[in-house]
Amino acid sequence: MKSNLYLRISAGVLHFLKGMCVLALGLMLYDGIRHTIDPEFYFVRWEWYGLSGDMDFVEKGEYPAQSTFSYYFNWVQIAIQLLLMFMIWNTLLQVLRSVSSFKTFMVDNSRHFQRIAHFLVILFFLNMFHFFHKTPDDELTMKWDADLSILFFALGAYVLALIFKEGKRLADDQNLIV
Amino acid sequence: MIRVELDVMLARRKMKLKDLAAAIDISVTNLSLLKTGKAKGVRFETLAAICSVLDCQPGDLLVFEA
Repeated sequence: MKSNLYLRISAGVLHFLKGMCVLALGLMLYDGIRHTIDPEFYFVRWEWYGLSGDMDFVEKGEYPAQSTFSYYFNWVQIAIQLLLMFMIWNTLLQVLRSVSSFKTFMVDNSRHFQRIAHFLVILFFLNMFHFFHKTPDDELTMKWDADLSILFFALGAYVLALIFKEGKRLADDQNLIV
Repeated sequence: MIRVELDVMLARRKMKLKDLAAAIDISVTNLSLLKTGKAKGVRFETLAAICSVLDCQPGDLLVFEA
C-alpha cells in the first residue's frame, strides 16, 4: 500500500517536471519567434541558466543585447537540454508504469535506463560549454565547466541498466520453468 | 544434458498434450515447452502431477544424455 503511494507521488513529480519542460520549451519557442521578428526583444534571459532551472523573465531593454549567433547558440543549446530532460522524465515514467503494473522485469527496463544514461552523458557535454557575445561593446565570454554530478547520475543509470538486465534474464528463465 | 520424453509417454498412454494439460491444470503452452525440450526446468509439483496422470516414474520422463 505504502509502495503504491510512493509510486503515485513519484509519478506525480515526474508529470510535473515533464510539464515544466513543456512550458519552458513553449516559452522558448515564443521568445525565439519574437526575437526573430524584433531582435531587441528578450522575454527570457537565456544566459547560462542551463540546468540550474534559473529562468529569468526580463523587461524590454533590461537584458544586454547579444549577437545573433550568440542568441541562437544559447537558444539551441538550452532547447536541446530541455528536450533531453523531457525525454529522461518520460522514460522514467515508463519505468514507473511498468513497476506499478507488476511488469518490472517483463518490460525491457534495462533499455530504458541505458537510454537515460545516454541522455545524461549528452547533457553533460552540452552543459560543458557556455558562450555569450554581448553587443555593441563586443564583450565575448566563453566558459568551460564540468558538472560531474550529471556524470554520476549517468553512471547510476548504467548500473541500474545492468541490474535490470540481470533481473529480466532471471524473469525469462523463470518463465521457462514449467 | 537432460532429454524430456514426454511425447513418448503420451504416445504410450495414447493421450493428447491438451488432455494432459487439462488434467494437471497447466497451460498447453507451458507443457509444450517441456515436450519440445525448450523448458529450463521443471517443478517437482508439475513432475509429480504428470507422473500421477501418466502413471509413470520421473525416470520414464527424464533421460540423461552425456
